[in-house]
Parts: sequence; C-alpha cells; structure tokens
Amino acid sequence: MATSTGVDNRKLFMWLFLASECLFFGSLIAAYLLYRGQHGVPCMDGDLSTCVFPTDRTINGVEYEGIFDIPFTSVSAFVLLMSSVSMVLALAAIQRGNVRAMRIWLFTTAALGALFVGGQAFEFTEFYREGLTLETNLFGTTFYVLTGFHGAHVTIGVLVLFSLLIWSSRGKIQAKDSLNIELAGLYWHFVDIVWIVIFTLIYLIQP
Amino acid sequence: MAGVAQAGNPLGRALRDVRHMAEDRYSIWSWIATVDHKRIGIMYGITAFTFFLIGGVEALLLRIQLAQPNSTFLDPDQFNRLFTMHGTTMIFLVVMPLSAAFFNLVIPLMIGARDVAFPRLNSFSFWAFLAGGIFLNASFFIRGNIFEGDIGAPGAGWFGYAPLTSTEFSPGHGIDFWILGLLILGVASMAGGFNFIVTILNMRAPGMTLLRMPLFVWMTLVTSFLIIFAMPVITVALFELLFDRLYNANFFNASVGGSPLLWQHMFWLFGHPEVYILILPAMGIVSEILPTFSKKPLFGYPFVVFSGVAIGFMSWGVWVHHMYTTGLGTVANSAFGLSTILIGVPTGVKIFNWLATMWGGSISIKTPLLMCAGFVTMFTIGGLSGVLHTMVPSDFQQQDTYFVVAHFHYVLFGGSIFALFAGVYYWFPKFTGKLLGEGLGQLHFWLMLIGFNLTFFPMHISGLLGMPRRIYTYQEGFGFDTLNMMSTVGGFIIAASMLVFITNFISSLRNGEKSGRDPWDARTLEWSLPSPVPNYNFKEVPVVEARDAFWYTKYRENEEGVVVRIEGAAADDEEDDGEGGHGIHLPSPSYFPLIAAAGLPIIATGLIYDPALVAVGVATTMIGVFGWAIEPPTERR
Amino acid sequence: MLAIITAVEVALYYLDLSRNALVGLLLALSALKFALVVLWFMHLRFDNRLFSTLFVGGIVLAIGIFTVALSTVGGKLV
Repeated sequence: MATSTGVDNRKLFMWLFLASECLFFGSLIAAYLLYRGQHGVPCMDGDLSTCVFPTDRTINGVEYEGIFDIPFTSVSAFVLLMSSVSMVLALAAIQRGNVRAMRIWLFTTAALGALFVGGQAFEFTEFYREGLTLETNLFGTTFYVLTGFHGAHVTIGVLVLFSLLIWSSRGKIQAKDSLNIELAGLYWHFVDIVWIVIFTLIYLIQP
Repeated sequence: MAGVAQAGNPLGRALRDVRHMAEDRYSIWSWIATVDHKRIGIMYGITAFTFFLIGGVEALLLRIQLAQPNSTFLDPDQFNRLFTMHGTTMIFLVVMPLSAAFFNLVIPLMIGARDVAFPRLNSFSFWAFLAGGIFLNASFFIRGNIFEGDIGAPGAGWFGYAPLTSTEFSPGHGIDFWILGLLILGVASMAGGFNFIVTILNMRAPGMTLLRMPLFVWMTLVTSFLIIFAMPVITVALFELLFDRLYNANFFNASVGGSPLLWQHMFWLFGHPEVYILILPAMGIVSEILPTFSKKPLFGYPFVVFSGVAIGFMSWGVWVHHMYTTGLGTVANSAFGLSTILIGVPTGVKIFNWLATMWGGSISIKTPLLMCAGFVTMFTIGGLSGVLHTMVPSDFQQQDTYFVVAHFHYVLFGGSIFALFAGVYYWFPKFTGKLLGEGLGQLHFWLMLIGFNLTFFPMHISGLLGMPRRIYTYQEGFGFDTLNMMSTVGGFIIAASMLVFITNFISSLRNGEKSGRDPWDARTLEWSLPSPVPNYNFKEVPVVEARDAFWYTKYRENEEGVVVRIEGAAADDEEDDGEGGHGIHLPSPSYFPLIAAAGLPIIATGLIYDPALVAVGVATTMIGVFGWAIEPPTERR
Repeated sequence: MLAIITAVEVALYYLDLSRNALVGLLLALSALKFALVVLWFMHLRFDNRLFSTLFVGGIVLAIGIFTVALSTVGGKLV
C-alpha cells in the first residue's frame, strides 16, 4: 500500500518501537550506573568477606575473587553476535526467494538465541549459588533486573523466530512476505546491540 | 489466507460465526469487536467520562473533609487514599484517555484516511486502558467493607515518592495495584502513541503535506512522540518499585545505599513530558475551534506549529523544577530554573496567536468558543503562577502548599478540561448528527467557570498563607477557614455544572436539533462528511490543495481579493444512508485485541496474589496475540 | 569482523592497561560494533532517513537525560 512517506507502516512502527526501547534500556542502564561500585560497601551483615563482587579486587590487602566469569560470558556474547549474522543471512535468503535456506538460517538464529538464554540461566544459577540474589545488595538488584529484562527480550525474540518457522512450514512465508522476517530481524539486532552495550558496561569495565 | 476460518475446522467455524455476529451494526458484539476508530473513540470518551465522575466524587469527599477545621468526616488514612486516587484517576484515566478519544474520533478524518494505521492495535489500546482503569479502581475493595470505611486504595500520592511507597511505610497491596495499574495503562498509551505517529506520518490523503495538517493533528503527533519516549522511563521506574515491593530488591532501599532520588528523577523525567501530554492535545483542540468561530485562519500557523514542537523538545529539559527542594545543588536548580523560564516562551507565543486569531474576527459566541475562551484565560492564569514556580527561592516558599494545587488545577482543569469540553461541544454533531443544546451548554460553561474559580482561586491565597497540601485537616484561626469553605462550595458548583452537561448530552442525543454536515462553517476535512460519519469515512479519498482543506473548497478570493463563498460548494445535499460504501474494503471486526488485553489484569492480579494466575494471564494474552497474528485483517467475501 | 572486535575487547580486559585507557578503548570498540550492526545488519545506512532520525533521536535523548540526571546525584557514567 502506498503511504505518505513511502515507508511501510509496520516497518515505521518497528523503528518507533525500537526508538522507544532505547529509553527503556537507557533507564535500566542508568539505574545500574548510578549504583555501580557501591555494592561492596554496605553488605547485608556488614562483613566484607560475605560480599559478592562482580570482579576481582583487593581490599585492605585481602584478595577477593569476583563472580564474573569473563571467558564464559564472552562466548555468550559471541553466540548472540553470530545469531545476528545468521539473521541477516535468513533475510537475504528469503529476499532471493530461497525459503529452504531461510528456514535453516532462522533455525540457526533461534537456536543461538536459545543457547544465549540458556547461558544466562546457567550464569544466574551460578551467581545464586555464590550467594548473590536480588536482595543481597545494589549490585544484585540492578544486575539481575537489567540483564533479566534483556534476557526476557531475547526469549520473546526466540518465540517470535520459532513462530515464524512454524508459519513458514505451512508455506505462509514467500519472497513477498520478507517484511515479516525483516521486522523480526530488526528486533533481533536491536536486542543484540543492547547486549553489546551491557557486556561492555557491566562485564568489561570494572567499577 | 483463510487461516482460522477454514471449513471443517470446528474452532475456526465458531470463530467465524462470532465474527459474523459482530458485523451486525446494531449488536453489542459489533461494539466489543469493533476496530472502527470512531466507535473506539466514542468508547474512550464514555469510559473516561465515567472515570471523571468517579474522580470527581473523590474530590468532593476531600472537599467535604476540608470544608471546616478539625473535621472528622474522613480519617487521615482515607484522606491519603482518596487524594492519591483522585490525582491518579484524573491524569491517567481522564485527561489522557479523553485526549485519546479525540485522537481516535477526528485524526483519521482530518487527514483524509479511512482508519488508523493499525485498527486492531487501536482496539487493543482501548481495552488495555479499560482493563487498567478497572484494575486500578478495584484496589478500593481489597481491604474489607468499603462502606464501613475500609478503603484499600493506594495512599502515597500520584507521584508515589520513595521510600513512602516501600512495604514498610505502605503495607497492604494498594501500592501494588497502583504500580501494576499504571503499567497496564502505560502499555495502552504506548500502543496508541505508536499507532497515531504511524497514522499521521503515513496515512495522509494526497496533498496533505505536513505543513497543511490541522493544528490538532500536529499536536497529536508531538504528544504521541512524548508518550512513546516518556512512558518507557516510568515503566522501568514502576518495575523497579515492583521488584522492591514484591521481591525485596533494593532500588530505593536507602538502608543498603539505594537512592530515593533515583525514583524522583525517573518519575519527573516521565512526569514533565506527561504534563505536556496532557496539555498539547487541548491546545490543538483550541487551535481548531478558535479559527472556526472567528471566521479567520489561525494567526501565524507555522509559529503555532513550531512552538508546539519546541515545547515537545524542551519538555525533556525541565524536570528538575519539580525537585528544587531535594538539595541537588545551586547549579542544577539554576540551570533548570532557566530552562523552565524558556519553555514559557513557546507557550506564550501560542497564547498571543490565539488572541490574534480572535482579534478582528467575526466571532460567533457559541459554547465551543466560550469553552475555548475559558481555556485561554484560565490557562494563562495557571501559566503565570507556573512562572512563579520557576524562580527557585519563590518555589522553596510554595513547595507543598495549596498554591501548587491551585497552579496545576488552573492548567489541568482550567486548561485541559475546558478545552476537552470545547471539543465535545464542537465535534458532538459530527458523530451523532445532532447539536448539543446551546442554552444548557452556556449554562454548563458559566457554572463550570464560576465553580472552578471559586474552588481553585482561594487556594492561591490559602497556599501563600502556608496551608500545606496533602494534610487531612487544619486548625482554626490560621485564616484558612473561609477560603476552604469557598473551595468546597465551588467544588459542588462544578458538580452541578456536570449534571447540566449530562442532562444536555442525553436530551440532545434523543431529540437534539439536526446538525447537517457542517453546522459551524468549519475548516477541516471531517466537516465535508455526512453526520454521523459513515463507517468507511471517505467514499473517495480527498485531494488536499491547501491548509484548511475544507474551507478552501468552500471559499475563494474573487478578483477584488474579497473572500466569497463558491456557489454550490459542499452543499448539504443527500444524507448518507450508510449503504453507499459496499465496494470499500474495511478491516474486519476482531475479538483478539480484547483477549490480549484481558490477559494483562490477570497477570497483574497473579503477581500480587498467586503465581498460577500469572500463567493463566500470560496464556490468555498469548492466545490473543497469536490469534491476532494469524487472523487475516480483512476477510474476503 | 564483529568477532574480531569482541576478541580484542576481551583481550584488552586481560591486559594490564590503566583504567582510563581501558575504558576509553572498550567504549570506542563497542560503539564501533554497535554502529556496524545498526548500519549494515539493520540497513540504516541504506534505508529511509526517517528511520535513522527516529533511532538516533531515541539514543541521544536517553543518553542526554540520564547524563544530566546522574550528574546531579553524583553518579558517574563509566
């Protein structure tokens, strides 16, 4: 359908949604940044040894081991990045009319996304075992909520991708319907770039 | 794309049957499943007006309590809960959705479209709004017998400052209902915001360039942008508070280093754009009505447009003026004082443009114009007391007094509500085919104007004398007694004016004067259509050649430069029987938006009481969403 | 390309750099990754200007308001 601006309604909607999401994640990240570095000091029982630090550090000559597993999370981040690549390939395939290739790449993307979410679930469980919960301190609160909301976004993305796969198995997605894949892709890439920011700000840059 | 409606599939057949029931224009199902922007607009309007009455009753209870010193009509706890619900209701359940009612009713007509960009999303917005509103008000009943005074509603103010909202200081579930209710309402507003931006940018008739759009369309566009950027901030803040309350997180827990100021920042980062979300649509309505009733084009159209846009941008740079007394420091206070003074400039530009529009016009004094005149004067008074608040030392004196209450009622009631009523009187004929009674209309206006000023003007004085807001009573002998009695009497006069309005509305609906297409000799495209508007809006999509598109088809300058009416233009000829549009494909009615929206309050209730309900709610919403995605938007016949 | 940048980032983390240099480098690299994904994967480079205006507008607004908000309460961005 012809529109006044020449761009598709649904695509415009998606970009508006993503612009709005910038404020959503911006707010969550701001809360994390406000409290970063404060979490070690006011521990629940005032005993520093029970505190959980995200990264290794030395306090009064005593070395404490942080709970971040940088190699593990790096692999996770890499998995999510690669899922963006396969998403691009899925879109390229359907635009050429190659439904089979699109299905393969869509599945790859969804599988990589699910792997990422699985990794996050593993990470959360590990941290929980180390004694870090939502209640522990400001780091626990802001970390779980920020990364949790991101994980929820990835999960929704995985659901959307699997729905598209089922939909295409009934022959409902042809080259003329490539917009569906493009929109799912925009959302997926957005979730990926949010992780790029989170990974750098939370994991790599030490408070 | 037969999808669910395949023969042989019993579920599909049942769904198709229920869809066909909705195609009978007179059945109740046709309203429940409607995706027609006009019907959704009407439902928004009626629902929001109902909440207006509820919020009004809450206000009257507060005024009865404050009529005399040392009154015991309400206890402090009831008072807190009632003023919290009054503020929350009036902002989120009245002014925002009443504006949304007008977005729905007139935006597609003004830009020459057959509907909004996403009709089913539009229906979802309405049902989510209704669900959120009912959920929020259900909180009244959670503490026991409401008629014995056990009011269960939230009681921490509409701004919900931390740490007052923590479980320690606000036990019970009132605040949880408030948080989740606002989250649901936020979803509704954001869906509407996206929808109207896409509609306005993408669905304009040929020739309707951006700078030919009516002012109301412009203000809706700016408002929608404010909604989609401001709502995520409050959404996050509310989630953080929810995690604090339900799962013992520490966002606003000062005992482990959490900062209550984070809440205030996030709340007002949303809250100040929100103020303009409430007033810009009203300004748009006024900018449509004043030219029509002055028989002149809007004075300085581009200036009014760009000051509206400028207000939209600047509204992001003034939020700290709500936080002067929190000790952020001189630099922050001075900078935000300055930016707040600056935002008065585009507002002032608009006021002068409205005055210049009326100046020298051939003014016809009808109720819509009177309401607009009420808007301009009352809003200017509210704006001026607002300028006093920008001065930091002056604000320190006025903070938390009735002076502030007077200020924001002058801009929200004197501003928004007057303009919204102007819109009701102006557009009522377009959607009913009948005029609202003029005599009762003027009575409504004068009663409301007098009642309003009697209620809120004395609050300036009681505030300057030092009467604090949000306090359930006061002692004798401070000079507050007479002023408060005046306010209470004024409140009841406003209530009386509402009775006049309701009477007028019902009697005009039954046997009002027929209006025809264009009762006001108006300027914009909606008046070129029959009244009431047929469900397909435009039989042929209009081609727009000028600003004030409809006026341009009626009047031209002759050789001497005098504007004359074109013979036979826009004659009020055939009344449309609604049967003429069979060739036009309209989106089919759908129940799925309602189902998707119905899941939200179930999830919310579940989060408070029982995780199993969360699963039920999520499943309901998923069914709604998947059905929505699979169902073809237009059923082929 | 993205993989290489991520590898470099993680390597930087293990190098013994001064905090300021590390923070600067990491931020620059992740901004680069961000831009690559947005410009090519999401086609912003080739698509309608309206989309990039909206998206950049959202990002700039978010960064702007929270920079001011955090600076008034003594928070630091990095």
